[in-house]
Amino acid sequence: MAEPILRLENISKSFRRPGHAPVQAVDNVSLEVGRGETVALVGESGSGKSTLGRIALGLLAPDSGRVVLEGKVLRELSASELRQARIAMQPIFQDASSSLNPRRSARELMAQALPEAKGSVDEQAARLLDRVGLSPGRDYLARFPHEISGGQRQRLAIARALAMNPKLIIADEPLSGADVSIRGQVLNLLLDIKEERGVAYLMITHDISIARHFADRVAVMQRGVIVETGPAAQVLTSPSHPYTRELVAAVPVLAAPEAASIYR
Amino acid sequence: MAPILEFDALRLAYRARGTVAYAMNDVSLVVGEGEAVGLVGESGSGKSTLARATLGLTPRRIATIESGRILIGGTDVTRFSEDQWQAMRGNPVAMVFQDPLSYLNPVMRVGKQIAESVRAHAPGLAVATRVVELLSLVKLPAAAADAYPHELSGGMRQRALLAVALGCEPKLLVADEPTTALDVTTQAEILALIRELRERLGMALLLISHDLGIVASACDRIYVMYAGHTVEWGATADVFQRPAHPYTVGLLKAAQAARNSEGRFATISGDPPNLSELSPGCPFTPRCPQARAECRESMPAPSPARNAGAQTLRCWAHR
Amino acid sequence: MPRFLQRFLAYRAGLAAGAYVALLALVALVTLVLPGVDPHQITDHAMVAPSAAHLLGTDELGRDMLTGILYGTQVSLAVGVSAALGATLLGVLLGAASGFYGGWLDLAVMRIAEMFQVVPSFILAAVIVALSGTGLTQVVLVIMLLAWPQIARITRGEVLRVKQLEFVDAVRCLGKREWEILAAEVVPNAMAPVLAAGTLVVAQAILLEASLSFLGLSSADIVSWGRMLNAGQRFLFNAWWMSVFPGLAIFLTVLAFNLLGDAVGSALNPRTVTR
Repeated sequence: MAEPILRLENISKSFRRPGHAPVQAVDNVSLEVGRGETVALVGESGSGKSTLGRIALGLLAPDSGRVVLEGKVLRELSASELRQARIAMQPIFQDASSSLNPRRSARELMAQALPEAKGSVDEQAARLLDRVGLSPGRDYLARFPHEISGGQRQRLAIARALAMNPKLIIADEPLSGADVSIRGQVLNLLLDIKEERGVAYLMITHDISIARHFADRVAVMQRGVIVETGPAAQVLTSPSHPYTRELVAAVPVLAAPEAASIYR
Repeated sequence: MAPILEFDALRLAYRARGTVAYAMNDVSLVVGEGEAVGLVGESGSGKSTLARATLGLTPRRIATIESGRILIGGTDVTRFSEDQWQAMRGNPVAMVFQDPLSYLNPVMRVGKQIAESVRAHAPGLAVATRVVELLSLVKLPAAAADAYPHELSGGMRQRALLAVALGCEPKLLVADEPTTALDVTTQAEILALIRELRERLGMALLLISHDLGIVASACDRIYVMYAGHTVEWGATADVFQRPAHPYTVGLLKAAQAARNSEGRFATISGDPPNLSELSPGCPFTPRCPQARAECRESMPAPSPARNAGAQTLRCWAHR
Repeated sequence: MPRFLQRFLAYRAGLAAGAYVALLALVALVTLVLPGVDPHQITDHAMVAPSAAHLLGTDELGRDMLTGILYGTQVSLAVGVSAALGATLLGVLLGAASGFYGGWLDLAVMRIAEMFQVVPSFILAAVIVALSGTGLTQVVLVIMLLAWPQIARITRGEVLRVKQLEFVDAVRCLGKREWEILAAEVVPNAMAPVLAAGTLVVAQAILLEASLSFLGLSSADIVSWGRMLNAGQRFLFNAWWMSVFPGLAIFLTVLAFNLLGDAVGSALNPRTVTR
C-alpha cells in the first residue's frame, strides 16, 4: 500500500493546569489519511478532536507519538525543514473572521501565500478568488475580511489555503460558523477542489450528518480515544460502538421534505 | 381566550450612527395557551430580536417599533415603559438563553438564585421546599443548590437557568437557542426535559433556533423567518414534510446535508440578506429559484399553501 | 485609518487636548527658529506683576515669564516625546518578545520590569540624575528606564491574547518564520492599547522632568517649567505669578496628554467599533 499523506502514530497529549489534575486530551491515538482520501474526525466538545488536529498540523507538540507527513517525521525535522514540509497541509478553521488577520486586505492575505516570482500576484490571487466563487476576483482584492459576508470570508480562507497547493486540508469545524443555507455552497466547493486537485481532507466536526455525507471514512473520538473507525456510511448508519450509537441517536432526525424539486 | 403571545405586523428598526437595520420588518406570530411554537431562521432573520422583544429587552436607545403591536395575554405591551415591562418578566413570560453563564449570577449559589425568583413571584410560599421541588423538576441533584454556576457543567447550568425561570411560574417560556452551546447528547437531554416540563406544567413554549431538527422535535407549530419577515407557518408536520415557501424548501434540503443524484450538496445560492437595505418586494427574491416579476414589486399577503400542506405562507408562487 | 480618525474626532475632550498639543508643538518650533529673543535676558524690571508690558509678569532677575514659559515648551515636549518614544520602543521590543516566546526570556524580562516598578520611581530618578549629571539626555534616559516596564507589560498582555488567535496559526502553516509572524501579524494587532499608554508616558515624562528641575536636578542653562517653579516657590507670597503660571503650564500639558491618551485608546479599541 502506498504511503498515506498523513499518519498519526500513538499520539498522546495531556494538559496541565495549576491546581487541577492533568487532563488527558489525546490518549494513544493512531489515524491515517490516505492520498486523496476524505476522513472525518467526529466527536463532542472535549473529545480531543481539535487537539489532535492541531498536533497533526504541527502547531502543538505531542507528549509522545509521531506525526508522519508524506513519510517525514515532523519531530525529526529542523525548524526550517518543518516550515517547508507543513506547507503540504493547510488548515481551514471554524470562523474565518478570526482565521484571517483583520488588518489585511484580501490582496495582502493572498500575497502571503503566493510565490512572488511566479508572475503578477494580483493575477494569481484573482484567479484563485474566482475559483472559490468570489467573482470577479479582482473586485475582492481590496476588501477587508470584515467587509464581506461570513460565507465569503470562508471562501477567502479556502482560496488562500489553495494558493499553497496543499495535498491535505485539515478543516476544523469549517461549517459551524456558516448559515445552514450556505453550508452546501462550501461543501460543494470542497468537493470540487478534491476532484480537481486530488487533495485529501481531514475534517474535524461534531456534525454527524455532514460527516456521513462528506467523508469516505470516519473516526469517532470520545474522551481522547478513537472508539470506532470505518467507512462513513457504515459507522454512522449502523454504529457498533455504544458511544457512536448514542451520538447518532441524539441527533434530531429531520425527514426529507416531499416534492422539493425546485432545487437541484 | 386570548393567545398568550401575539405579534401583529410588527416592524422594528435599529438605528445607530446613521445606519438603519430593520431586524423585524413584518412579523406576525401567535402562541396560544399551552402551545409549543418553534421559530426557525438563520443569522439576520430577526429571530433573536423577536426573542428579546417578547420581554421588552430590545435596547431602547437604538431600537424603535415603527408599526404593529405586541400583545401578551391580550394586553397591548407595544409602548410599555421599562417599569411596566419589569412586571411582565418572569411571569407571565420567562426566558432561557444560549449561554446560561451570562444570565446566572456568578457569585451567588444556584439554590439562592432559584429562591429569589420564587420569592419574587410567589411570596408567602415555603421557599425552601419550592427550591427542592424545582431542582428535582429540572432533574438536578439537591446538592446543586449549594454550587456556584461555574462549578456546574454546561448542561447542568442550562437546567439551573430553567429552574430559575420556572420559579416564576411562567405561562410562556421563551427559549432562545437553548442548546446551541451544548453537545448533541446533552442537547437531547435538555430537549427531552423541556418537553416533559411543558406537559407537566402546561406552559406555552416559544423555541427559537437555527437548527431545524431541534424545533421539529419539540414543537407543534412552526414559523419560518427570513430577513425580518415571517414567511411560512403552520403545523410542524405540514411545514417540514410539505414545505411550500421556496426558502423553507431550500433550508430543509440544506439541513439534510445529503447529496443529490449528482453527488452535490443542496444549497441556496447567494448570501443571507442585508437588513439595512429595505426593498418593497420579497427579500428572498435574489436567492429564489422561483422568482418572478411581482416578487420584486411587493410582498404578498398571507395565503394558504397550494400543495398538500395546510400551512400559510407569503409567496407569489402560491397566490 | 480614516475610520480611526472618524472615531477619534468623536471624543471632544481628546480633540481639544489634541489641538492644545498641536499648539504647543507650534510654539516649540517657533521659539526654536525665532532669532533675537533671549529668554535668559535679565532686565531691571524684577518681579513685576502681570501687566501690558509683561503679560505674565517677570521673575526675580527681571526675565519675562511669558517668554520663559513659551521657551520652556521646547524642553517639556522634547523630553516628554523622546522619552515616551524610547520607552515605547524598548517596552514593545521586550514585551512582545517576552509574551511571544515565553519561557525563561519571559521570566527574566518580567522580573526586571517588576524591579523597576517596585522601586519608588521618583527617588530612583533623583538618585540617578544626581550621580550621573544634570543634562537633558540623562533625564530622558532615566525616564525611559522607568517607563518601559508599563509599556512592556501591556504589550506582553496583548501579544499573549493575539498570539493564540487562529489567524496566527493560519499564517504559521504558510511556512512563515516565527519572528516574521511576531513582527508582521501579532505586534500590529497588539498596538492599540500600547499607543494609548505611550501617549500617557509623555505626560509622566513631562511631570518627572518638571519635578527633577523643581528640585534643582537640571542644568541652570535650560529654560524649564520645573526650574521656573523652583525659582518661584521662594517668592510665593510676594510674586504669585512666578509659581502659578509655570504650574499652570505643567498642569495643562500633563492633562492634555492624559486626555489625548484616553482618546487614542478609546478610538483604537476595536470594542468601540460599531458595525
